Amino acid sequence: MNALIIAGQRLNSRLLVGTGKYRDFTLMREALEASGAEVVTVSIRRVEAKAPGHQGLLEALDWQRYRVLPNTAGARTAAEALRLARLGRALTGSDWVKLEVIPDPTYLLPDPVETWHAAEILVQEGFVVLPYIAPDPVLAQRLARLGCATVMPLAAPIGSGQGLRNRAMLEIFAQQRAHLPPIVVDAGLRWPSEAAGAIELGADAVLVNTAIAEAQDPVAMAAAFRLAVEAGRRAYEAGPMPERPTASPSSPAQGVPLPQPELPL
Amino acid sequence: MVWINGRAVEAEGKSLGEMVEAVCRQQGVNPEAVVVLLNEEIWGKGRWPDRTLVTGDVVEIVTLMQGG
Repeated sequence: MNALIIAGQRLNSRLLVGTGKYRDFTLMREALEASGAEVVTVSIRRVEAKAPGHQGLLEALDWQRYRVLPNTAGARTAAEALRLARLGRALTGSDWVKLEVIPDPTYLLPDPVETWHAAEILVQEGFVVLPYIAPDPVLAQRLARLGCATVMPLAAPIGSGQGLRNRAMLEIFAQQRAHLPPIVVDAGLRWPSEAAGAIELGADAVLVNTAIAEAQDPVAMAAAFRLAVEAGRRAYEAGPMPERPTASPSSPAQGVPLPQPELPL
Repeated sequence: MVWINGRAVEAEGKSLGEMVEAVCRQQGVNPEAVVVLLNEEIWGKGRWPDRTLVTGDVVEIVTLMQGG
């Protein structure tokens, strides 16, 4: 399989995973291991009482093994995203940032205008910007021209498990891939088959969090996503058969050792 | 009052570094794993300015958490 290259960084896995929503760090570590992912996302939050998941996350991740990708989740405007991105850089020592600007709490849909403004400044500041966007190919082209390292269109709302709801738009992304950085389908997946489907239609990678973390067996589901993403990519590289409007028999049509019906005159 | 992580705290006259370390100790977080935003200026892990807090200072003490 061809490697995925993001901002000059070679990645063998086309599955990126989030670290959110796991019951505990042991389960998270085992799921990350099973996923085979090399890029893992994290968030930036205040150190405060009753905040689950912040004690020891730094120690819980193997920094030699994973590229830690801080997100700007929680930002509602470009200005807020810039603040979180800069804090993320100070915390991780990495220029990579998953840019999320989300004013809408119901569907968690990203604001395209604020995202574009934030991306412009972050690129100028030397960040490697991976923007989370609605599946809008025009916006993707605009972000590509700014120099974003990927585009990350959503398959369905974050954490919804609704699957590849935006397949038609993602197909347009795939058709325009020559003019785009790597396409990472992010958010909304539930089944590994949907991840395979996204890759088969031409996405370069997928980012999965809730589908693994909230599975009944997150470690087994992480392994399933790993296999599905690999299968999807192998299929994409193999190239599918042509589609036909009618059936085409797989066995020879001639020489069947049975009485043949009379041919019509 | 000094604002620390969104809360008003009577911390005038205290050292920023001591305050950050106290918050980390209280929450069980390694001070090496946090970054401080003091009046919108970022100070990296463990490299706080030698500064006494004054009224109106806004301090954010942040770390990495689980996220997607």
